[in-house]
Amino acid sequence: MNGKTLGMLIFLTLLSVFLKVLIHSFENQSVAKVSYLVIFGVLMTIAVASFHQAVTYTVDAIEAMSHFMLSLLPLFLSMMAAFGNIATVAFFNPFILFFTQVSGFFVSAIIVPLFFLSAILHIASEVNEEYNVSQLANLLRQVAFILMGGFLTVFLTVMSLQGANTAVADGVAVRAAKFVTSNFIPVIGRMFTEATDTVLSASLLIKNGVGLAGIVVILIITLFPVLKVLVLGLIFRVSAALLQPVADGPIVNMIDWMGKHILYIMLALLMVSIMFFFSLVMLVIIGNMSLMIR
Amino acid sequence: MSFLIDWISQIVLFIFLATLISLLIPKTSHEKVIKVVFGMIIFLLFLHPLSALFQVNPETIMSEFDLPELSITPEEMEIEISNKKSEIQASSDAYILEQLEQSIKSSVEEELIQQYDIAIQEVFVQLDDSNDGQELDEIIEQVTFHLTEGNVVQEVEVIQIPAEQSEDGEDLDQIKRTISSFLGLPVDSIIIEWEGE
Repeated sequence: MNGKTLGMLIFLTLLSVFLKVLIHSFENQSVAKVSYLVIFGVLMTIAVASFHQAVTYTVDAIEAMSHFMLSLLPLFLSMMAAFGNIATVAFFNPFILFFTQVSGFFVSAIIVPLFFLSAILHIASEVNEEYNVSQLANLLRQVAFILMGGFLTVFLTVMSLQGANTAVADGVAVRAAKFVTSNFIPVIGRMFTEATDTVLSASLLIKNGVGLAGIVVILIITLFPVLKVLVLGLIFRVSAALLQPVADGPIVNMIDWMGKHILYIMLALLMVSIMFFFSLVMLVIIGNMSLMIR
Repeated sequence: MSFLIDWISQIVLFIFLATLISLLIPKTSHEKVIKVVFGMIIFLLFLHPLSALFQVNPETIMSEFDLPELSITPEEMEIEISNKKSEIQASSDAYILEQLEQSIKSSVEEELIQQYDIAIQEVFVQLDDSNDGQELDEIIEQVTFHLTEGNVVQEVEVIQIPAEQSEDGEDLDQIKRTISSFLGLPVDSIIIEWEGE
């Protein structure tokens, strides 16, 4: 499939080169221009189809990830709640669920259309010499990047700060409970605390195991779509690089822009997967942190 | 988001359209002007979100200009139209009347010169306004001829004129009859006035 796309791109571009050589033999210059435009249109169709494929991979991967998070979180958070991270769970459950749902919508409804519009505007300004709209395209791309960065920053900041806070609060609460049990219950109090400590460390191991498994699964879910989109983008970039010495001009520029924007889509996918990855890692670390304070 | 997508697709579609059209138009001096116009339209398309954001209605801006024709009610418009219509009709009637006078004059002139040695100075046709849309000879109420003696006679001394005029009384009926038979109009509707003397 991808090899076919690469072959098609190179074939069509070489055809356009052939046409450019022939332009001088045409009596009417505009005939040559129109045929050039037709080749451009075919190339554009292929490019947009590839872009759509990249978008489909991305959206599917994000959906799979958020489904996985939805099924993993109850298990993980209930385990955390079991050894006293009540405040952490109370904070993280709605927070992560919210961001899992929103990130899918955010990428598929805002980021991807912005990149697509930017790509289309770049292509439209490559088609003709007179009416250039590449500045608007750059603006849209910039907006998409800023939105992505802002989203990631908000997520990570809230997560780490608030998460550490709640973890400390939980740790202090558990420590106070242990202190109370060991000091105010006369004989069995101390023994009880020791036993609880053992149980807690054991459950900590289990929780860390589950968290690590979740991280690995998230990586596996993300890995293949990212590779697919990367290959799609690289096909465009590589064919642009290959063809530039032969056929420099709007067609090569168009292929290059398309490749760049497919890679931007991959960036959005990476952003979301990093978000999920971070949230799992953060959950594991914070769970350990509250036990550390004890 | 759908607003943005609509906007961008409008721009892109227009750019493709402009590219095709600029391929189709011949290479003349108009080409540059057409390109400038397309550039302006793209500029307006770019401004579209601004006008939508600030809820600027182009029609209100247009109505703020001092263009009284644009701000009249349908009734006023109708009156205006009927006024204009009657004006146009009157002028066309006047034109037709003039044409009629000219043609009467030219058709009768030669006859009169030959028979009576009388030149026609002017012809006035008075129309009967009460019945319109009928045959021409029914509409014409009266035709007034301003007659003078022929060029030769004008140079004749003043003394001769009373003698001539006495003849005129007898001639008048004859002239009238000649004209009426020539034009196919009743004798009553023909009035003859002498001029110059």
